[in-house]
Amino acid sequence: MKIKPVSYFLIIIILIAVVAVSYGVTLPTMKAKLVPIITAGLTIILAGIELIRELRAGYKAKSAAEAEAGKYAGGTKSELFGYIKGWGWMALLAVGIYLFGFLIAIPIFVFTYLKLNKRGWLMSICITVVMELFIYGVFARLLQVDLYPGLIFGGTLW
Amino acid sequence: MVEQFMQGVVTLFQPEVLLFLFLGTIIATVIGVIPVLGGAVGMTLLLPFVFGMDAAVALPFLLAIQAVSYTGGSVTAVLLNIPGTLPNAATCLDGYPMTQKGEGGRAVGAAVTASAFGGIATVPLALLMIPVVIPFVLKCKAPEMLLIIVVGLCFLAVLTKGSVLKGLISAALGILLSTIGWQTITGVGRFTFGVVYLYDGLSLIDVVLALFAVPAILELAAKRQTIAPIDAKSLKEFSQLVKGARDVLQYWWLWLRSSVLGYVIGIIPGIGSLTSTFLAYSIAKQSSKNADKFGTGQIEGVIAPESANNSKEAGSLLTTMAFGIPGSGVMAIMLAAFIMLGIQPGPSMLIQHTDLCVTMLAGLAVANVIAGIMVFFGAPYIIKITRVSHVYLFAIIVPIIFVGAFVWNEALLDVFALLILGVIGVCISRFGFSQASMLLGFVLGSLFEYYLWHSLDAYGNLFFLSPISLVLICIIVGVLSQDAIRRLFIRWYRRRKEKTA
Repeated sequence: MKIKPVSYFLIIIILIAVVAVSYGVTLPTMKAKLVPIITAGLTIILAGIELIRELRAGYKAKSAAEAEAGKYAGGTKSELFGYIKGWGWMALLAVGIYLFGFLIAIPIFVFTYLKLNKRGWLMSICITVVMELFIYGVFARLLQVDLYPGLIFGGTLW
Repeated sequence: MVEQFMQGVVTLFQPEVLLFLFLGTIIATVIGVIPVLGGAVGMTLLLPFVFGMDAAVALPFLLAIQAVSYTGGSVTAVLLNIPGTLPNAATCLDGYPMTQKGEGGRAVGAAVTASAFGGIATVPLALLMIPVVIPFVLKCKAPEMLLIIVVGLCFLAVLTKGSVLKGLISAALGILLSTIGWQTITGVGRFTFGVVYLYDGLSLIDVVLALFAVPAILELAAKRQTIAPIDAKSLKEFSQLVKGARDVLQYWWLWLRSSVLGYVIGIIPGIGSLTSTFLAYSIAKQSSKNADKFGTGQIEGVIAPESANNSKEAGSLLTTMAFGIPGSGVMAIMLAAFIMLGIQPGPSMLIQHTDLCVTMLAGLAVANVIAGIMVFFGAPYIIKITRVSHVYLFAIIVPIIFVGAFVWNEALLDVFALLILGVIGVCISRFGFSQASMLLGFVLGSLFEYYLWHSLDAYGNLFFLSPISLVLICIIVGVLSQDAIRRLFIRWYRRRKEKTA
């Protein structure tokens, strides 16, 4: 039987809901615990039913899935890699912002991303400058937001 | 009431409001052309920019982005067979064959004119409905409001493709997320696990961005391709566009019928924009003399879905404002925008902010006029946007998402929370769960809890026995069981057919 990724996600949802129920039970008053317990309990039931459906569907489609596996496996894997890579870039930007602040990390991110994806020097520099001016002009000047300056420049997390 | 109506219209024509409406329309047209983005993501990306703005400026601006994106989306649907937004898919059926026959300009002219006129014509209908809706809304007390919230969640859940259960799970997860932090009724901290950051609960903008913007931009990065093929055809003759506009006038009855249909579907929460366009298309096909030619490039097949497309927004907005129940996933984001700008949607909004409601509805009409003119004349240039590489989009949009997450509370932890919530958002999107239901659950979670306890305290355990409540319960049961009923009916019909055969 081929277990689909959605089944794993449903299992994670069920586990989260179980944690929520057990945490909800420890809350001091009925007014505090009722809604979390009801919604988490409902989630466990619904996700459980859906999981059974998915597993049964996966079992029925076993032979078909095997036949199709070779056809789609490559595409799915490369797409998954694309998602992870994209998320990795986002995580890098977040760490960059944490260390150096928005106004330094964003231009570094934009320029590096464009260059590593084989864009021309002129285009990369132009977009980087426009982005920096845009972020600074709109948020720092126009909306008067105190953009995070970065840990090394004395920023705090919240 | 009349004074507030006038005040609403006067506000719309303030230079600042008009300027942002114009700006919103331009952005919406561009966003509408890019299939991965669409109105929902566009609105999400622009939420941080309305930070600190006056609601009378910010809300028409955001509304224009959603409402008008369909107009931009019709151009790619007709010329490239790529629906800019999901509801434009129905336009592809006859629009693209027309392009293949060399009548792309005519189809675009008809689509844009029908869209714009549809969006404009239904606004007066919505305005007239406000005085009718207010008395009904006033009759709704806490139990009714609680059940209306459940109705809204169920309506959106059943829209989830493939599985109603996934929609309901999404809504439950949204409510569960909303319980994180201090509970306003008791002052108890829930699911904080001692983390101080969580005491204020999750940031609404983080949840919105994580559910809509992050999955869209990561999908773009994962698929690594330009949106449209490079050899996409473009428009050549202006006279073709004019011919298309004339077609709408010639088929005025079809246009009117489809627009009213779109408006009515918009009023009913959760029916969905895709339903309105395909329903308008199928009705047009059934009533046409050339029904057999539909799908091969019939102009009626372009006019009907495009008329329904934009007209449904006025109806959907009315329901969102009056009951706090979004008619669609995008309206769920609009609901979040209301709350961010300090306006509580629901009965009080229609009564306390009548002028703002009028400004928004009238703004919808003006945005459609601007978009109609802009797309009509700019279609040959607008189409070029589809050739922007995913690399540029990723490099530009990701920093905006991060700044957007930070702006609201000016807390860097919001950025890291966005990263984590983004993973959930991607899973929700990829595995066929409902982003809109989850957002709605999150937005309405605290209200759900408030009305639940208010109903129990004021009316006891049998709070749901008022006539309106019973009707609402019937609606909930009907909505949730409609799929099962439909299946039973089909099975019964097949058996009957087999027997007679």
